[in-house]
Amino acid sequence: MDKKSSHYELCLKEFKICGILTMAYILICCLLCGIFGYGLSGTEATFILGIPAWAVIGVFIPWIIMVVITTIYGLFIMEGDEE
Amino acid sequence: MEVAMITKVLFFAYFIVLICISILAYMKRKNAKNFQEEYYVGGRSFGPWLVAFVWATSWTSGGTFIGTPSVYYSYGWTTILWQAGAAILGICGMLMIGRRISRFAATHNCLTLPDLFVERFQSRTMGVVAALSIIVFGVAYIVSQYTAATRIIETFFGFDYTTALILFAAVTAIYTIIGGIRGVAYNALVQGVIMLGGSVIIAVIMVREAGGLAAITQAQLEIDPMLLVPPGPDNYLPLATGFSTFFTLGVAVMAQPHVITRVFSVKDVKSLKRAGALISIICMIWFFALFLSAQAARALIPSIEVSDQIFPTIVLTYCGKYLAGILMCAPFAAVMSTVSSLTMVCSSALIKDIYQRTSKEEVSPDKIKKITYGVTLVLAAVVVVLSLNPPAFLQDIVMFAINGFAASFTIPIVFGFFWKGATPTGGLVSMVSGFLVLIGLYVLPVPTNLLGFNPLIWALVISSIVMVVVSRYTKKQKDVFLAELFQ
Repeated sequence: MDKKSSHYELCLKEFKICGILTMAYILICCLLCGIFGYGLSGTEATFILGIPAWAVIGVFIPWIIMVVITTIYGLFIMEGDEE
Repeated sequence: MEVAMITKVLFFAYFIVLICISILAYMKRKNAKNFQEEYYVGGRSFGPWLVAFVWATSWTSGGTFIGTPSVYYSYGWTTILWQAGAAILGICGMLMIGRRISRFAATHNCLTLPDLFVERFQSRTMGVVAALSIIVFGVAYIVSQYTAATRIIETFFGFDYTTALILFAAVTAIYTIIGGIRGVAYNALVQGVIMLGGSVIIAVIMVREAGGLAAITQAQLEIDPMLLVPPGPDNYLPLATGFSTFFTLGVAVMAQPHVITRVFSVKDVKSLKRAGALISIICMIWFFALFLSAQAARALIPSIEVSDQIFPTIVLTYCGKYLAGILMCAPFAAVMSTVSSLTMVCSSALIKDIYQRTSKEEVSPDKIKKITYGVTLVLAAVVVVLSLNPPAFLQDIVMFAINGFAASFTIPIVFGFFWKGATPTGGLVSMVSGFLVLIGLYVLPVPTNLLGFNPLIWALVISSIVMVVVSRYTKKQKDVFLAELFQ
């Protein structure tokens, strides 16, 4: 396989992986916030370590996971250090 | 509010440091063989830390430290959902498109975003249209930042608005002109560290002052229970709008000209990968820290006359005079880094994308150098004049500019570099249609957030459809060119 075709295919693969991860993150956040947050009145809110539970489950945890995935993907999975 | 002399001295010392760093950058770049490549993209030699910080500080503007805490403070915990698009900044802005864009830019000698369109679509028209969009939205964005910074200086030094404006403009123009993008990058590293450290310190102080997270949420429950749950007070963030903000404050980053051009300055793929990871981590720390500070602020200061003043207020009230002087550099750093990046982008749009592209004669490197310095100075002067009568609703202008860039450029970038079928006419028409849909939704007598979605969502949808449909029925580029690009 010549170098140029592998470069484009690699870029396209990265685009698809990152695109899928991005959309999955967005949909999961919206779904979890929709289920655990929207529709509650403030007096019904439950808390985890003092933080509203819907925010922990629907935003903070997915955000942290996304950062971990980005770091692992960027540092250890993406190819081509020699370029 | 009374500000101690030592606080002012520390804040003023920050300006001196910036100019010294720019002089250092000038010494490093002055003998570069290719002036424009060095001035605009640092000779494509930046490692991961420089790229990550100049990228992240270019994206985060004065809005991040002034307007955004104001939003967090006013609308409570629902605003963490509003901000959640920041988790995908590293992946969207760097890892998704970085390899493709940086390689293409290097092999085709692209220094600006319009260059990218000209080389990919072989269309000078696209380059000029893109450059004009950048100048219009970019100048509006810069004016809003100048105004925000001027207000900080007014508060701190007690100068009148005009004097404060000229002082800020002079410092920013000097370090941008002298240092070029290398000066901007070195300063961004210092500014980024201040912003990072500053936001964490403030968060720790504020949460401790408020008695911990449980005490904060209890206090907010007593102020207004809707501060704790979505959509927040006054139905601030319906779910459809929340979904949209993942795009406006996340995905949109890949089409911001002052941010995507940072990808051009990467020296190798290893730096690009590391920068993507660093950006994700840096942004997470920044936004978590600022968010928690603002929630604590609401518990400690249940109401404030102007919510935009919440950040300076908590710094000056809770951080002591020495720390306050350093910490107030954080929002200032955010403004200056964005202003300098945008100034570079607007100056390159004028010189490279409009003047050089339309000039019939070859312009000598020496003349280019002089014109570059001159135009950057004139641009700063124009912005000063426009900022003398500042517009209201600064944060609205920032969001409009961000959305304007994203509506115009996202689809041509994504389809242009990942779909062989994209044609020059398809690219141009999709750029213009994205822009027009956005403007239309703001200006026409229809709901701006149609069905609850931000206008950017509609602009991206229409722009995508237009790209595909127009490309199918218009002339394709030569097979040889496409084969080389997409093989």
